[in-house]
Amino acid sequence: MSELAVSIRGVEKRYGKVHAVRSLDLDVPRGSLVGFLGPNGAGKSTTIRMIMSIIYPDAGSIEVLGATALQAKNRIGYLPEERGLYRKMKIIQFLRYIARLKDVDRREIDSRINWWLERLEFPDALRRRCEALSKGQQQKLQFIAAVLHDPELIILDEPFSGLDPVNAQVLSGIIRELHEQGRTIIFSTHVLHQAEQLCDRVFLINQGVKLLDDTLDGIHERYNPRVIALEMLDSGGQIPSTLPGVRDITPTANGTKFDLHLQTDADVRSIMQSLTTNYEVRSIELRRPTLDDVFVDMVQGAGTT
Amino acid sequence: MNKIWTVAWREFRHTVLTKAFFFGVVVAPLFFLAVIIVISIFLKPEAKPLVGKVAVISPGNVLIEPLQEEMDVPPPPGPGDLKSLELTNEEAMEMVIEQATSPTAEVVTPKTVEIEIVPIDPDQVDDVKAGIRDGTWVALITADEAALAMDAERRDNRVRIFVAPGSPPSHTELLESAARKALTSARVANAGLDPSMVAKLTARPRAETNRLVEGGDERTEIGELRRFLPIGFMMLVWLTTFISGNYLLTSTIEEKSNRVMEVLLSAVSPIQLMAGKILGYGMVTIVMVAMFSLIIIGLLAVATAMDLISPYQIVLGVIYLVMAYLMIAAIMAGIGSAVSDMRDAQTLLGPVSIAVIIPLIISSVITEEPNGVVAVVTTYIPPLTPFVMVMRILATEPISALEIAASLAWGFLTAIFLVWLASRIFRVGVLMQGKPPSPLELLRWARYR
Repeated sequence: MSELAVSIRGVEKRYGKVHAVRSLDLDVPRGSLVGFLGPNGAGKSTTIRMIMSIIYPDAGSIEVLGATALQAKNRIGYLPEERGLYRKMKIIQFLRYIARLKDVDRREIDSRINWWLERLEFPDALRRRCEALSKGQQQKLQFIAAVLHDPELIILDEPFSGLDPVNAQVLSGIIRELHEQGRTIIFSTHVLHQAEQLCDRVFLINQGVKLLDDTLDGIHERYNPRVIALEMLDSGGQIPSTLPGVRDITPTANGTKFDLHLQTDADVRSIMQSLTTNYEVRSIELRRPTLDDVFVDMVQGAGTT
Repeated sequence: MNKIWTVAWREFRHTVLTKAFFFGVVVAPLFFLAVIIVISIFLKPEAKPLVGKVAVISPGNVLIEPLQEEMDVPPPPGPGDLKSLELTNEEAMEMVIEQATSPTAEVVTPKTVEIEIVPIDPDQVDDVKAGIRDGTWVALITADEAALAMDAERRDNRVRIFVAPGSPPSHTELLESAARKALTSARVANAGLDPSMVAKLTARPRAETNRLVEGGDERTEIGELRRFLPIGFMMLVWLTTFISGNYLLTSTIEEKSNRVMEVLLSAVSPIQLMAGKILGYGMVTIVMVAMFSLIIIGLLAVATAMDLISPYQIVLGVIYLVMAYLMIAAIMAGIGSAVSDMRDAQTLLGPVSIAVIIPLIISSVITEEPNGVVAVVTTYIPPLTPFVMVMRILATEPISALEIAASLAWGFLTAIFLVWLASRIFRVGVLMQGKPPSPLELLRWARYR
């Protein structure tokens, strides 16, 4: 059995004059939880649709769960970004229909539906029509439709949009559970701190070109901004305008907080020690790069080149 | 195949088992039929009895006797009285069609007619006219010497009838008819001939057409039914395929606009989805054909009994129905997948609607000349093929087996091509939103890998 859940090699996709995806290579290891990031129009949905074999690449190959995408369809769960339900259909009918399309054993369908409705705290929903649901409830219903057939690979496009914080927490817990059970999850989002909290790997695409493909630790290592965030004990506390090893000092709030941008060869440990010894410091932190920083930096960088 | 069937069953179930379908396709036609039956049985307009005296002025009172004879004759039988006439099936059917298509089909005759014809002098005219107004007299009929002349070209060749202001049309029509016939009888007698003999000699004879069909048999036929049967069957195919095609179109647009399409495409391929839809609405078509056929079953039974349709023609009709459905369904699926709402669909449907209305326009030409140039040429223009062929196989002239085979081969080849083209457009179109594509763009979509 292949170690990769998804393997994309040299994939190209054009829509007329628009080059949506260019020479894309991507490996998603089995059991990983991957964040799929990119600005609007980056080619995320096109790539996901090709993984789902909803559309086909012009060139290159896609292997999903060791098979062609079409053969693996029943082993993939997919929550599209655009939520869609049959408005007049009852919830039970909708879920049964999707389960049958995913070849779930008829005898198991109703028990699975009941289990998931209970798990997602969706009371008395079975006989209601889809049009009677709130946006958040529709979102939960679609999530159930995506995982009802117990897929090995789950692709979630913006899974938290429309959910209140309580339901977002519930869904977040379920995604973690599914990941712990060994399922591979690819999860596209614009809310980068959610990706940071959930994912162990990140894939960034812009204008159809892959910009980043790494683990979170690897990204933190590669994109270390070398900035010390310093907060003085009170507003009267001053620091000199220049310090050894510091390139630039930027005040950030109320005259008590400063960002110290270090020189490339500066010794972080000794600078932090010197600051705590010589000044009245409330807090000091070596800032980690956030995904927001990396995202903005890379996308803007790619846009200017 | 399992997934295609699942899609087909959902489309069928959510179309046929809905109130809209039940009322539109089942209840509405049955209700329409019931209303016609009820009206014809219970609400048949009945004219008031025509009772009283009619004053007549004519030279030598020549109109008195023939008028009285006309008034004493019982009213003609209605369609409900056919059994009492002991007619054969063909005669009864012919009589029904004749009455239904006759310009005077709506004429209502009084059931009770008790008229006394009274000769009067010309100087009594004013008194009689006053009597007509106050109800003492029913009418005054006058004819002069000129009316009795045998010159039909003369402008004064007429009989005049005076009636009361409130006299109903049924009474005036009966009086006019009686006066005309009486005047004709008087003219005949005036010419020295026997009116009853002339009436017998000029009675309208029945003309029976016997078609010498293949195999040496003879087949008696009814002209009007023979003319309308092919058009009726073409309409059945046309209506059912278009209603189903329309369901397919709206269902595809609905799935696009409520964004459920991508959820479906994560479970089935676009081709499976389209195939499921075509199969599902094909089953809807069968239900509709069955419903409509049930409604006209009486006519079908009579037509079959009278050898107007053979089992071979019925089988061919069903094959052409399948062909028509495949063509229309493919066109509707392609258009439905390409647009985001019904308004945009109407724009693309425009040229298609114009094309498929052609069979209706040329139907009379095809039934008259089923092997004529128009019929042969339109047979090979898709998507007209099945509609034209349904009319041709039921028309009078036999169509050669070679041409039937050619039309089937060409028609199904075109239908398969249309389904293939629709599937190419469908897999790209179902995920597109916004501005509807131009026909050129549709062709470009078909070329996408």
